[in-house]
Amino acid sequence: MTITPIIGLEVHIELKTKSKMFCGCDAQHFHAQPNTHTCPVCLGLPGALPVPNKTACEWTIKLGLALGCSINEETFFERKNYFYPDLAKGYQITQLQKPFAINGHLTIDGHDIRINRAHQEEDTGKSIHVGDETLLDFNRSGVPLVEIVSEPDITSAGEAKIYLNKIQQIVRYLGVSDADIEKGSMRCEPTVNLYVDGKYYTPLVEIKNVASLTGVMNAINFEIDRQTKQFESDHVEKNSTNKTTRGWDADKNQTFLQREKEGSADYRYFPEPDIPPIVFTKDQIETIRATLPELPDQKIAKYKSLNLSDFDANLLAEDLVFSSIFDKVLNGSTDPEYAKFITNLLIGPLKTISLDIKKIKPDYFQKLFSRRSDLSSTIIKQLILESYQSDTDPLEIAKAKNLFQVSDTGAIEELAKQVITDNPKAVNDYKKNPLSIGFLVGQLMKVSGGSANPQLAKQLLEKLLS
Amino acid sequence: MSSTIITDDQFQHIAKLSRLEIKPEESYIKDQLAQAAKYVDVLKELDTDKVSPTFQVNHKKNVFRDDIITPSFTQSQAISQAPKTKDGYIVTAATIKK
Repeated sequence: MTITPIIGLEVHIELKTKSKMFCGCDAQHFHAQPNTHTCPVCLGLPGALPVPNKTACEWTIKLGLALGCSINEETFFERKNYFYPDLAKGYQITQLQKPFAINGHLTIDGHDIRINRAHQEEDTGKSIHVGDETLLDFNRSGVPLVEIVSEPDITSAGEAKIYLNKIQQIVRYLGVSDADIEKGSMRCEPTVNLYVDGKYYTPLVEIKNVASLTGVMNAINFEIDRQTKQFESDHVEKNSTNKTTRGWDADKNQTFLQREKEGSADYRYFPEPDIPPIVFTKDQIETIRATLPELPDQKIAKYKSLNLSDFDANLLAEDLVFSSIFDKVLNGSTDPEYAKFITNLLIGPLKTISLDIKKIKPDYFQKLFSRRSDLSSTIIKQLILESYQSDTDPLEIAKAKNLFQVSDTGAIEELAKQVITDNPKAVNDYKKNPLSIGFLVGQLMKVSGGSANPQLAKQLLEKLLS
Repeated sequence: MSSTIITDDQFQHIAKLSRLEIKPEESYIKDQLAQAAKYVDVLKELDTDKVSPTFQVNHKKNVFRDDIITPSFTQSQAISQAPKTKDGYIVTAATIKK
């Protein structure tokens, strides 16, 4: 059997607005006392009127734009009806026919993953299962969510992981969500089936309750394996009624059948009569587009054009703050040698401390770069760290501490003679084995206080001992 | 009219979505439901050819609120109408079988 996995991902991003989607309750629910951020709207009490949070709508459009989507100028909310205790109203306010954003894509290693839509909706309450009871907390009910739905273009667990990392990175660049999978502000539901022997499709399975990136990968791999065996034994193909929902059990590392999925028609979607339609004009959408930062892919392309390696470019673009520091230090330079020089400092010594972009002085880097042939690489690393911490010109520090490498042949030769006199045993060793010169060079560096140019030191020692 | 006849399967399905348990002796409800649905056919008598479809009657748009936190219920207010509560939570029958 040849198996091609077909994977689509639904990703929910909880927006970090101050207030909820349709009411003014505090949207921050993590670790809050249960049922302390609720009101008639988010408890679904009769007669309550939902009013959309403008910031949340703008952020959804912004995220849609960052995902390469077209934006629907006219949108509206709809009711999705279903029965579950964490949904007090009996319906979720969401979007179906006219989502804010449609038809985007993300590129992973040259492979396009199409994005069907990014729509706005509200989160449900939280259920805690204790024994034969379920405890309900409605603090999360009504918190704004964006649901990003991919087309089933993902073909492996590894690709799913890269896709999720990318969405997380973009969302964090935009500053619209923490997108923390462990804390639940980013959630993922993979839908998996298989294309077998280029002829058959296995029934669709939607996986729920995956609470980590590793969990997503393990769940997808488990499903691929399970469906392969299932198809080998029963040969059941996908049809319009046999989609199932399976929960992920992270302890047992397996999926289990949860419930029969209600068919799409059972949600009885209809336009939300309590919320008038929403119109964003082309100008308003362009104004939002203008607030987009340079995105990770653009940053990576820019860094690679400076001859930086894939590894360095990705590392620098990892988060917006770090890449902004790099951009500030780069200061528009297109010199690959300078780019590599500052990369080594930023991902080296400066990576070990937390940096404040306001305190970064590009000219400190430039000064060190201009004198790099007179300073050892170790000294340069020390100097950049010290100059940042004390806000002092690194060349001043170097001068005060006498750290410039002495390239004055006469001065080094004097020191070399002294080293030869002081280390007769090492000199003897060198005469038997020229490779042992390192010890004498080390001694010379030591007596020079690290200031001798090591190449010159080696040359002079060799000359004196020949 | 044939369009409003409800099959047994549809009836069972609607009952399930409504969380209603219909006993066999209550099957006459199906005919009552069919009658009620039939009533909607009255609307078909209207000539709507020149009326564009709408789901909105007040012609408003862009009714937003700014992202500002306003006071919420206290915990005791929030859970006061629940039949059963525990430590500030609302308690319901288990939704997941373990």
